[in-house]
Amino acid sequence: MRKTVKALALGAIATSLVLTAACSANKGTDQEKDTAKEQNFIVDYKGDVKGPRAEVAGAKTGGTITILKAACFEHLDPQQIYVSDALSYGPLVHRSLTGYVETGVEGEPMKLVGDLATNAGTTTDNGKTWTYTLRDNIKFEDGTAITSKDVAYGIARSFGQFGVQGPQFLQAALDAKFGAEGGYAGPSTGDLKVPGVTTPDDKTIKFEFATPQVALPYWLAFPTSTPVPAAKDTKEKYDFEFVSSGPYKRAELVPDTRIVFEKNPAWDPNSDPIRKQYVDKFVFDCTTDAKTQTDRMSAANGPDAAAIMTGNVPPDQIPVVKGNAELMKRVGSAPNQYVYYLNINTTRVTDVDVRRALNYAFDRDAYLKAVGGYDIANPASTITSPVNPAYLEFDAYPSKSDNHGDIDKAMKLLEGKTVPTLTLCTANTAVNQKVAAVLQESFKRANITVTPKFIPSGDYYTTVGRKGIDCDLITSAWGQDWADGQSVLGVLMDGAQIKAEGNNNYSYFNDAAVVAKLKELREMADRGAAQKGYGELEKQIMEQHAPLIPLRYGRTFGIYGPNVGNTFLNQFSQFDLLAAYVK
Amino acid sequence: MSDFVPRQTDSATDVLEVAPIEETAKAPKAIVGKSPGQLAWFRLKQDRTARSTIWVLGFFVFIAVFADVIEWIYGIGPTVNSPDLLDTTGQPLGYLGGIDFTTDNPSGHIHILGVMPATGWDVFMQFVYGARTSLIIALLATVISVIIGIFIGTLAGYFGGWIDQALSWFTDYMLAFPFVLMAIAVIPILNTRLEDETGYVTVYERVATIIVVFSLFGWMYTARLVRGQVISLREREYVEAARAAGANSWHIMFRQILPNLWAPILVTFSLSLPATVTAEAALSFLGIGVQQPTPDWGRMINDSLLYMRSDFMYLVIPGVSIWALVLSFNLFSDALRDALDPKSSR
Repeated sequence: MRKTVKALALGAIATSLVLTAACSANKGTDQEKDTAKEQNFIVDYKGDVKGPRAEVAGAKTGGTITILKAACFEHLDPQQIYVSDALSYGPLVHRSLTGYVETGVEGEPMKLVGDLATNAGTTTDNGKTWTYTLRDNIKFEDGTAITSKDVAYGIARSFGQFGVQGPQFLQAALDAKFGAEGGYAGPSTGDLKVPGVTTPDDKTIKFEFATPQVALPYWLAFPTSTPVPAAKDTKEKYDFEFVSSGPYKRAELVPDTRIVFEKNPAWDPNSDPIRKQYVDKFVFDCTTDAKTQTDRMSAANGPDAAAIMTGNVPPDQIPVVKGNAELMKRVGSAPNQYVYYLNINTTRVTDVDVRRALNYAFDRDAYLKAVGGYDIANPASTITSPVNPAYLEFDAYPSKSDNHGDIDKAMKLLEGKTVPTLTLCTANTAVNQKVAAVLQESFKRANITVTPKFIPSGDYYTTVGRKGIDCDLITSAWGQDWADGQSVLGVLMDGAQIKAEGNNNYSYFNDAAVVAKLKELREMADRGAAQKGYGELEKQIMEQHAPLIPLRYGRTFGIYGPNVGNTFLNQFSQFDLLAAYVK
Repeated sequence: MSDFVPRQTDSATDVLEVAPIEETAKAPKAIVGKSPGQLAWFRLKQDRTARSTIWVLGFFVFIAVFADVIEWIYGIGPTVNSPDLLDTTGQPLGYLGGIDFTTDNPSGHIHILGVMPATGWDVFMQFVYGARTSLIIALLATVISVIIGIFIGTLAGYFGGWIDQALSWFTDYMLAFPFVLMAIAVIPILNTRLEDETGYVTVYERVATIIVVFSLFGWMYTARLVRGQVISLREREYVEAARAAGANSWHIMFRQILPNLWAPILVTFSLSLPATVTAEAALSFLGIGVQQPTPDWGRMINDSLLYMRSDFMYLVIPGVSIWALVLSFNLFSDALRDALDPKSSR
């Protein structure tokens, strides 16, 4: 990651001022300098990771942790879960076939392990057939044993109307006609037979695909594969009346207001390598906005001492928080999986030198300050986020040391060329309006005229996802769906996927060599080796084609209570609670 | 603003000046006849409030008109990024939101009102160009709405009968709409009609929409006022005389009656102009006014609320500007009303 600290000529400003009496000068504070932790990633295909999860040093049992949220989970129906808050806290009540073990300890790799299953998956034919065997002594909250039929029923649900909000990767891979006429449409049709899924016995579930699907262990870590007992499927009410398979169960649920989870006695710690059951109760308070959350976490009075916030500290409150050294000890600040881009529409800006010049002319410092400063964003130079295992650190278009870009190089690339006025499309929000004006000024320095075009934010991605859109520059953001280069480059840079509508490749970048390389990487069974390939491919894409300008890496800046033990920002940028305790 | 005075009083001055000629010959200190316009101007000059507020108004009009010249002298435009004047959280470095009277800083320019957080744009230039935005929109919208109001009011008052009933009913009907609420509802709908296939509305279309909506919902008070005045004037002898001389209704309404109504119209105009400035700021504050990078005071206030804790000065400047402009306009129009019609308020 690039160096972002910049010497600030403060003395001159301070001494030149006359009005000094009552007011204090803002001299600037140090920004967050840490980079994302190098994430070594282990997929436990062999089943080495077994329950119970190792005890946390100093952990105590008992107590209540309060989770401050601006709104309740959109869904707790496992097949509908796809949003980061529910992906983080849903696992307290829902188990799935596979899952992630995160410890938050520096240097300790994240692991994808078997959760209900004994391992992350067994395949003998490079990913066309996968077999999972369930662990022993896994039970629903009512004490009935979880069978592979329940898992299959859950997956069947994800094909129907109670799966539309969840991830769709597994369904699309299992059923070529998914979502179309004649495709499997879920258990409500009376048909429980999911194409490609078989349960030879109560402990085994098999997946068969037409083409190799090496990402299956990642897809099954979504609660799509959470078991649902067919007899207790309350359909639309399952968002509230779910049957727990995890260490906690629903004790109280007032929609849009409050959720309480209590211990689930039927859960066996020896069957679970991911979760602990230290805390007695989790209380979700869904009526506090980010500002209130910050105020309550700063005060940490009473029960708030054992609370966590789920929002980000608003940019204007960050200086206040940073001014408080005691409070800073309880701050979780780390890069998250989101990367923000300015896509250059390669079908309209066909000259690669112009695209390179745009990369050089981009004023990263001005941009970062306009979006809220270095506490909520890091300067970006890659397409892949530093939290992704495919991340390779490089900067194809290095800025001068002041981090304002390199206008000389941009001008040199543009020599003898006339660049037409470029249209910059962005969603119409107050921040984006400001950012568009900042970008406009930043490109003006290289004599590139940009006119912003604000598109209603509700249909922004639908609009710019239409092939042939008359935008030259398009802002977008992307967060990986699973920790793999395929979930970034395979989505954003694959020209073979460009369709009439609903594109994610907003640069409309289509290069035969890149497409071929992506196909090769996608089908590699050794995901570790594939990650390296993605990194190299990305460097090549940025250097040779410059299809976009990486704007920033998202950062999370949140506060947790002084009495919460063993919490850290997890892969979804939320404070982890799967093995947290109350001090 | 002042050219109304001679036009309606030319003839009166001529008539009045005939008599005093002999008197001035006898006594040097004799009473000099004054036209109503001259009297009003005299009274206005005597009024301290008017004298001071006209300077404030003059200042705003001056910066709005000469914004480009000011930019040229000042040396920096309203949307020039100066990220080096900000700390890493985007807050202005230095004192009071980055106020700096020297050029010894990374931008190389003075910043007499500081810089905006997040962008480092110069607040003074934003303020100057914001005055232009506010005044252009307010002036055009008020002129159009007053013209509509005069037209409808005159028609209703002069013709009476069913025309008056229909127009008065329509005026009352329009008055029933809460203005800002209506603007919030109508402007996005109009913009939806204007947008291209990607949902984009150009800057000019946006400004035009605001002006049209303000005009359509702002003429009622003028119309009611003018109607009342026309009713009181239409039976006067000079109107009868014009009618007897065969003048048509159009001539009587707009040539005979209307010139006698300029005083109250001018007062409504100067009262509704600041109301429009505030309303425009309110709309921009709510995010349906003009958009970046066009500077605007209302949007600036909205933006500054985000930084209220860390950069208080940024909120003060646009707030004080709107307050000063609206207060000056209101005080000035009060003084103007007193000057034009001394009986009305005392």
